[in-house]
Amino acid sequence: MLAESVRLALEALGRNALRSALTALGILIGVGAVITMIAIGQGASANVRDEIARLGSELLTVTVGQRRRGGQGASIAAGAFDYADVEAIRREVRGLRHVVPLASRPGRATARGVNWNVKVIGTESAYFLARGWALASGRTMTEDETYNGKPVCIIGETVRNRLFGGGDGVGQPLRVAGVACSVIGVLAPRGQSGAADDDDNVVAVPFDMFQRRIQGSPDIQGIVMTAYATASLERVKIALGGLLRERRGLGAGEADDFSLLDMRQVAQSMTAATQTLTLFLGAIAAVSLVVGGIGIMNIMLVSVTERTQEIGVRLTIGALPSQIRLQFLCEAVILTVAGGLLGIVAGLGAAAIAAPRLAVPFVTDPAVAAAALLVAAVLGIGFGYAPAVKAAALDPVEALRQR
Amino acid sequence: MTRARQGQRQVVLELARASRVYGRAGSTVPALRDVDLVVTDGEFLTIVGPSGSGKSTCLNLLGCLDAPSEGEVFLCGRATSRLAPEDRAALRRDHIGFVLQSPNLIARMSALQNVELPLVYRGVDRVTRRARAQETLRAVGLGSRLTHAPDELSGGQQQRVAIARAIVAEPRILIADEPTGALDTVNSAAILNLLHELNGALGLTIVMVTHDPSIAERSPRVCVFRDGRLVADEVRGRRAHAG
Repeated sequence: MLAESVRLALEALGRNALRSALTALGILIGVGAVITMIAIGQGASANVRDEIARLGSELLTVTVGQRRRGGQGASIAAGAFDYADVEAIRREVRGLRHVVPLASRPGRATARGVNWNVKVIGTESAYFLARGWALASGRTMTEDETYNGKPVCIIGETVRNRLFGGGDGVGQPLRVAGVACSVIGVLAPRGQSGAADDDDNVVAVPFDMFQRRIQGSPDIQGIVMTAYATASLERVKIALGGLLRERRGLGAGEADDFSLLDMRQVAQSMTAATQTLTLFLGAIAAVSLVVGGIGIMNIMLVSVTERTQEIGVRLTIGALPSQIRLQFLCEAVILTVAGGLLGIVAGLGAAAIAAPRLAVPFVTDPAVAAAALLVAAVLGIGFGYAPAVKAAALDPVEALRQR
Repeated sequence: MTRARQGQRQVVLELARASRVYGRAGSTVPALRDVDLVVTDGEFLTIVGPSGSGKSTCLNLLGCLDAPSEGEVFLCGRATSRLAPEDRAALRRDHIGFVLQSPNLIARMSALQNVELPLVYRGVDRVTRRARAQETLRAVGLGSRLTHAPDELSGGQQQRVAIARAIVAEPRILIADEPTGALDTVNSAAILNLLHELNGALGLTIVMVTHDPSIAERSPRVCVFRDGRLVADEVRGRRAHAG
């Protein structure tokens, strides 16, 4: 009987083709919007995952101050690290491949008469190894340069492009934060990472020179480390935490005044953020899906009223009320499923067009498409049920009298 | 055939003290009061009466389209007044065909598709129902109009399609509500001939409502309604008819 009901439903829909198409359009737009939004959101998530993978999962950083859980910024004031802390970690914590101090501040770089605002970092050459950051040209800092404050610098791709245009800039003079130095290397581009933060807009100078001539203090705000293996990360974190607490004289009841962060945590929080974004976008789009569903219900109710006499005729020639109900339900579900299928195509098309413009990869997820189709069918049943019941409950005598 | 209406003939329809009241509590309109009526297998019964006399209400009860407010309606021995709509519809489907004043064909479906429709609801397969619909349309004289849409047929032809649709599932009883009411004299006579033919040849029980005395004239049994009551139930000898 279901096959016959589908056939009867198709016949009835075909008799009102334009109206059927417009009604399905509501669902098409709703499903399309959901699919587009989720595809974009998943693209953003994929971006985040790639970024984290590139940073390396063995990476561990410790920074001064404690970020409150869930809050942004709002740190507890605490004293900075110094180089003795770096050396103590090297000496006492096992399982670490690199331990590198990192200080940074914004500053202005000037070359060939051009000014450009950059992030100035003071570090050691191992920093680039720890972060897996290769040089595009030139060389990295020697030990002598690092610890004796030689005025050299390594620049990021963005800085190179802004200040030296076509040339690689190696060997050229550059003033950074008021200090004259010469460019010895150019970092390979890391590419756009998410939104505002441009990793490539950086000038790296030897740690010693940064402390003395730019920062003017021996403070270190962060220490970057890599473990030999991801598996030992937890153990390393415990040892590291104990050591730093001891060195900073924290009592048993006191909270940490530094933050230990590994990339898994960063990954988790960023993934959670993009997933929330995806859900949020999807939820907004889902509103239009509900509106489409209401459109279906509206048209089905109109259709029942219009076809009252026809329903009466069908009841007199042998249709059972349950068959009438099934037919109307089929009509609603056919409309929503057809709208849903076209909506998936339209949504993926829109996402394919929008994704490159939003700098996210175009991600397709068959599970989302299947879920959207299922939701469309459920909408059809949900919003088609009341009109179908109304049609089936018609009194044949009354229905026949209708003109 | 001159068999008289006798005890050995099976009762197919029966109204037992059936009443039908319309409207809600407070302002009720009795449309049918205490009607007793027995229809036996193969009968041709004509119901006449002025408008508002209850003849259509009576027909709706006999056709199981409606249930009595009081009393009982028996269809082939089964009490129907307390059946759920779904069960009443199933009983109606199994025993009764309907022809109404207007042919009520479904637009944009061919004559053949219209006649097939009752078989669709009965779950008959495609090939069988097509064959039976063609056969039935030929039997009512429309073998050459199978693929015509309703609006390509004359009023008389449309009513023939409606009759074909009513009998294609081979019901025992045909309920006809003013089947010639919208037709001219010639077509009217032709439709009436067709009904008498179906009654004579197939033994189809026919209950027909009309307000045309000349049509009632030809009927072997005439029931007269007035003010919701059955006031006369005349049985005449079956008259000879064409075909």
